[in-house]
Amino acid sequence: MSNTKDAMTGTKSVASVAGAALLAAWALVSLFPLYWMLLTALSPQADTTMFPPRWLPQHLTFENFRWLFSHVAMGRWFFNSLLVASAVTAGSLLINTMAGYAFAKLRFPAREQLFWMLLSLMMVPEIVTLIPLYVVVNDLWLSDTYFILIAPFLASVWGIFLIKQFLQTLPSALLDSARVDGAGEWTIFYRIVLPLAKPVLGALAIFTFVSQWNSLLWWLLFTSSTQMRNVQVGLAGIRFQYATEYGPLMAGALLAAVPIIIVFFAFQRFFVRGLTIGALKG
Amino acid sequence: MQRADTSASSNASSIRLEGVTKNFGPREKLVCALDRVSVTIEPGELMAFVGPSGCGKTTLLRLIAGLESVSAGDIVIGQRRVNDLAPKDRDVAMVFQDYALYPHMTVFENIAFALRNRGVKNTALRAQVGKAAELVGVSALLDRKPRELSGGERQRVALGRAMVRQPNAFLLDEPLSNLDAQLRARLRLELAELHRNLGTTMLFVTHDQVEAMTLGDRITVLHAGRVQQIDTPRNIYASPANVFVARFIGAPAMNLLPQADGTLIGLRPEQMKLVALDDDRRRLTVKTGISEHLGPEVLLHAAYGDVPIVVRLPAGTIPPSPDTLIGVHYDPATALRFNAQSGERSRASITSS
Repeated sequence: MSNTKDAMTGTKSVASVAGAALLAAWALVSLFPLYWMLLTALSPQADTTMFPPRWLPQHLTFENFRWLFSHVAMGRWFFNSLLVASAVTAGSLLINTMAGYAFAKLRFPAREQLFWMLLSLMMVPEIVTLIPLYVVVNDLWLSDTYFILIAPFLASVWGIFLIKQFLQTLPSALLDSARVDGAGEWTIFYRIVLPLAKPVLGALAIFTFVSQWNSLLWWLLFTSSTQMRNVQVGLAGIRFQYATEYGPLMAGALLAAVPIIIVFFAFQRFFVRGLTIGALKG
Repeated sequence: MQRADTSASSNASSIRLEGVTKNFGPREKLVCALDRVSVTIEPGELMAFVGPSGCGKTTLLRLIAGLESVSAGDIVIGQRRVNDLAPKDRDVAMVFQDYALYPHMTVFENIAFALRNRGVKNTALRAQVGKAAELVGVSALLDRKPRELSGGERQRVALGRAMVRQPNAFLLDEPLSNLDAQLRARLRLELAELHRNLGTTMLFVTHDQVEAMTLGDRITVLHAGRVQQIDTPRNIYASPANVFVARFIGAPAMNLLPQADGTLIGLRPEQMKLVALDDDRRRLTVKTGISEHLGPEVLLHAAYGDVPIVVRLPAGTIPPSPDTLIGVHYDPATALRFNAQSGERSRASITSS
C-alpha cells in the first residue's frame, strides 16, 4: 500500500520536475529577446555589433538614450503617445459605457436593429476603409492634427459590445428599484451602473490604452510632420533612417514598453477578469 | 420589530385603477397582460393580488409604480391621476422579488438612497435611516454589504429601504417567495405587524393563496389578466365567484362535482362527511383512495365517478381502506352551484339532488 503510494508520489514528482523544467525553458526563450533588448540598449555601439556576440554586458552606458533625445524627437513622441492614448481611454470609457448601457438596459425604438448594424461594422476589416478614409481626412484638412488621432477612437463597437454584454447580467430590478426610489436616469447611471461596472471598465481601459499605445498604421497615415509622430512610428522611422543604430532603437523599444508593463502589472487583476467577462454569462 | 411611535397613516393614499389595460409586444402579436382591471384600494388597506404565474399581477404593480405605462385606463393615487408621471413623482415604494438591494452599497447607503435623492442630508438622514432600520430590526447590520446578509435580513433591509421615506403606498412583489418555509411564516407575521403599525396602504402580490388569505384585508384574484373576484379572504373562501376562484383559493382545492343538469356542485373538503352506504343522509357514493395524515387532520382522496375529490376528516379518524365504496353527506344549503359552461356561480339555491 505504502509502496504504491511512494511510487505514485515518485511519478508525480518526476512529472512536476519535468513540467517545471519545461516551463523554465519556455520562460527563458520568451525572456531572452527582452534581455537582448535591454543589453543592446545599455551597450555602446561597438559592443552590439561584435561577432561572435557577447552574452554579458561589457560596458554599460546611457549613450543610446541620450541619442534618442538629441538626434530624434523622442520626448515629443512619448508625449504624443501618452496624450492620445490617455485621451482616447478616458473618452471611450465614458462614451462606450453610456452606449453599452443604453443598448443593454434602456428601451428605445429600433434598439436591436441599431445594435446589429453596429455589430455588422465589426465584420468590415479596417484595412478596407483605410484608403477612402485617407482621402476624406485629407480633404477635410484634418491630417496631422490631434483631432484625427483621438476622435475616431472615442467610440468603438467592440467596447460598446463588451460593456453591453457585461451590463446585461445586471438585474434590471436594481435600476427599477432606483427609479422608484426617486433617482433620475443620470443618478442611476452615475450611482448604480458605473460602480457596478468597475471590473469591465478596468478591462476596457487597459485594452484601449494598450491598443492606442501600440497604434502604428493610423499614425503612419494621418501624421506627416516629425513632431506629430508617436513612439511606434518614430521608432520605425529610426529603422529606416539609421539602419545600423541598434542601440538607440532598442533603447526606444525599451522606453516604449515601459508604460505597457506598468499598466499591465498595475491592472493585471482587471485584465484577467476582462478576458473572462464574456465567458461567464450571456 | 418596534412599534412606530408616530402613526404614519396620515400619508396613506387610496389607489384606484379604472379599466387598466396593458398590452405587450408589437401590434401584430399583442399579448394582453391586463384586461380592463378596475379595483379601488382604500387608504391604509392591505390588498393582496393573487393568481397563478403569468396572470399579470407583477405587471399591475409595475404599472402602479410607473415602471410600465398603461395601454388604456387610469391609475389614480390619492386624488392624482398618475398615468403620465415618472416613477419618482408617484411617491410609492416598491419591494422587489429579489429585493434588488444595491450590491455595492452598505445597508445604511441602501436605506439612505431614496432620501439622498430627495436631498435629505447629515443629521436628518442618519436619524431617518436609523429609525427605519430599527423598525425592521437591522440596526446592527448598517455597515454590512448585501452579500453578507442572510435572505431574511435582505428582506428586512428591502422593507426598511421602502419605508424610510414614508411613501403613500407600498408595493410588494412576492416579498416572501425567496425564503424558506419557516422564515416565510415568521416574516409573514412581521409584515402584518408592520402594516398595522405603519397604517400605510400596501399592495401585495403573491402566487401563494395562503399568503394572500393570511395577510390581505381584501384579496383580488387575477387570472389571465382579468379580475376574477375582489373580496375579503373569508368571503372569497366561502363564496367564490367562479370555478377558477373556487379551485385556486383553499388547499386542498374545492371539490367540483358534475351534475346531470350541466351544473357543478362545489364542496369544500371539510363540508363533506363520510356516512355508511345505507345511511339516510347519504347524498353521494364515492370510491376511496389513499389518505394523508397531516396531524390536525386527515385528507382522504376519493373518486366520484372519474372526478377526484378530497374529503377532510378530523384528526384521529381511521380512514376507510382504499378501493371501498362509501357514502358522503353534505348540507345542500351550504353547497355552491356553478354553471359548468361559463364557470360562473349560479345564485339559485341547491335543491336536493
